[in-house]
Amino acid sequence: MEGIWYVIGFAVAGVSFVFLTIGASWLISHRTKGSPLKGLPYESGIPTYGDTHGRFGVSYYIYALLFVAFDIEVVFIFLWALVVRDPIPGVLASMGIFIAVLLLGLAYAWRKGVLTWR
Amino acid sequence: MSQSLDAYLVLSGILFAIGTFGFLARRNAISMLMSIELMLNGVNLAIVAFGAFLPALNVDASVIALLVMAVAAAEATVGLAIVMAIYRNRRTPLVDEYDAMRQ
Amino acid sequence: MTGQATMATMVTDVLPEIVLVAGGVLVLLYALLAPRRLQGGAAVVAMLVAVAALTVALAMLPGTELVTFFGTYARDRTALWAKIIVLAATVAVIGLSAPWFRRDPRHGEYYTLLLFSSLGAILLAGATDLKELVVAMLLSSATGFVLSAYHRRSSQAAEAAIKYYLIGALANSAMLFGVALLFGLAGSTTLGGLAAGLPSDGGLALVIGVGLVVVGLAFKIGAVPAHAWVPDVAQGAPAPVAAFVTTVPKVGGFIFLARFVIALPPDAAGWQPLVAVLAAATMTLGNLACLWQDDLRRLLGWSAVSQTGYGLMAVVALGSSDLAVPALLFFLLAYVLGNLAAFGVVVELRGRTALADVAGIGERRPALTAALAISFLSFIGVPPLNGFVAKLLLFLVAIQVGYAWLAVAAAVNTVVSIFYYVRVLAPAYFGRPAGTVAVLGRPAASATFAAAAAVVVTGVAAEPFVAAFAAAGLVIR
Repeated sequence: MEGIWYVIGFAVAGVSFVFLTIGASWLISHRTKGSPLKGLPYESGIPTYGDTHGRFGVSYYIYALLFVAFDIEVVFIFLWALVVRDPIPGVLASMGIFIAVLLLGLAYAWRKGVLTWR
Repeated sequence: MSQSLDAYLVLSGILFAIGTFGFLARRNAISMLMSIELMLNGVNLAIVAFGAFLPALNVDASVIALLVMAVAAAEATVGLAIVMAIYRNRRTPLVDEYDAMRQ
Repeated sequence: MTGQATMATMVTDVLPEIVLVAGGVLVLLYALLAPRRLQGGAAVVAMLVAVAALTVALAMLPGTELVTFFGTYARDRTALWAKIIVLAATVAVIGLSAPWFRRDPRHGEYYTLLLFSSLGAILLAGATDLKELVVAMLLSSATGFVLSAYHRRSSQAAEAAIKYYLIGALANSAMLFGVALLFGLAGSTTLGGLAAGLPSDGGLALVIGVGLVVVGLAFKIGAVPAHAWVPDVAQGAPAPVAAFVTTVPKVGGFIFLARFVIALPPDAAGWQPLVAVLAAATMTLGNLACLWQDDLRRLLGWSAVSQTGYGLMAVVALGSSDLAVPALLFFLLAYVLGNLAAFGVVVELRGRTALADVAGIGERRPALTAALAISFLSFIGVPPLNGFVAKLLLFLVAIQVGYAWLAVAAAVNTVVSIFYYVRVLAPAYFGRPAGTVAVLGRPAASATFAAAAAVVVTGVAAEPFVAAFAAAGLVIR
């Protein structure tokens, strides 16, 4: 069972890495407990105002989420397609049910007005 | 062949550890989500390596790897939605400022 | 065709699950098509679905115990009892939710999430495969996160949800790493394959793999080290959701943990002392945090943590004591009913939870206060309530397998817990009421009273339940 030692080695390496990194960052990093003023881009001069981060349209973000969610479901269709050799009705029906449930999710998003571009 | 399985496993362990470290060290919720993705990639690398080097595990490993990808995507989707919800409330992505409830 | 026939029989093994999936879809369709003022009807549909699944699970009880779907899913009486507890709890939570979410514009689809979440817990209870574990964890967790954030404009709910999510995502990733390790070590993901394939001298890798999977399950059941979400969710999430996520996923998590530990090679991973230490840490930490809690919901959250610690005593005894499985099942039954009654009172009080709000409600709302008192006394373990029988069984199995120190720790914790439960009950009965006590409505009240009554009934008539649970096997292959 030589393989075990590889596994042990990699587990030890994995765990010790965490503590080594935390220890290293504790050793190297500056530790200043200043006021929030210290963190400002310009310590003197006029105070900055407004949000640093620009805003994006929220509708765009929901599109991205929907894409990720439905994109990954294809993975399961891929597995199914690998296994299926002769498409007997039962096999097709099981995938049909899966896709129907997913479509319902899409229909839900549609009904809630997520798909209208604003 | 077997000599390089441990190389993959060490790499996956390191990826997982970097992810864990990032999760614990970062204050920004989005960075924490990214760290989670890194951890899951480490997991997937280990699984795929097992599948590639041990022929008996080949099929099983592919299936688990795809499952882990699905888990990662589903979790990230829900996580981002929750982060958006709290960002609208609090106007900050920094998790150590989410402290309205205390013991 | 024999292939067709076996497929057909396998489908009948998961009938309650199929009812839940179809029902969840049905509720979503209803929510999509029904006009806004009829959205509340989704609660009725969901209630019917949960009752239908409950009936099917009850009807399956006399069947043979086996592992179906190629060694990946158990159809034994332990899993069936877990399903029955989960579905009964879901019915009660639907009753609590209907008045609470009455004005929510997204009322209908809430029940889809609820049904899918209880499906996740049920899958956890039946899973005998690590892949199944991964999927069931995801289903149960992802829906739980969304349910906790359901009041998305509430700052507290969003905060509870993000804490729940972050701890869950970390624990889940750790668990996946553990799954990867065990898969590499055993060359299989089924629990039967683990039992056969795990080397008994697996060394550090086995210990780490087992430890990481236990961390993932600890998140689900709210045990140390992944317990921190419980008080936050109990306090911040919508009260019916808090009732749900502190009870239902725990049932699934406990049963899978039980299956997982009996699949491990004996003494190989040192899981018994590990779980024992987790049990002691969980009950003590939960209790200590309860002591000076001024928020009823947060107190219930921490008390849920300490109750998990007591339940882990049964897991320690698994494989070495015949009483372990009945003790675990009876504990889950008692805990779920007690917690539902307690959170039901919170829901019925419209979510007001400062201890000052509870003062004097004994005078204004005697029945409601009685429900709270029954659940708290059951948590302490006062006979003849079901919590007493559960504690008795748990102490018994812990002593049976040589963990007397754990039983002593639990006994000390129980004595300490009297303090904080009485700290709530005393002002409720003897305090001065601060005005009228507004309540939510009939469905929530009936669910609360039903849960409280069940706490009494299953305590007084515990014997048939214990006998039935004793006949439940825990099969993994």
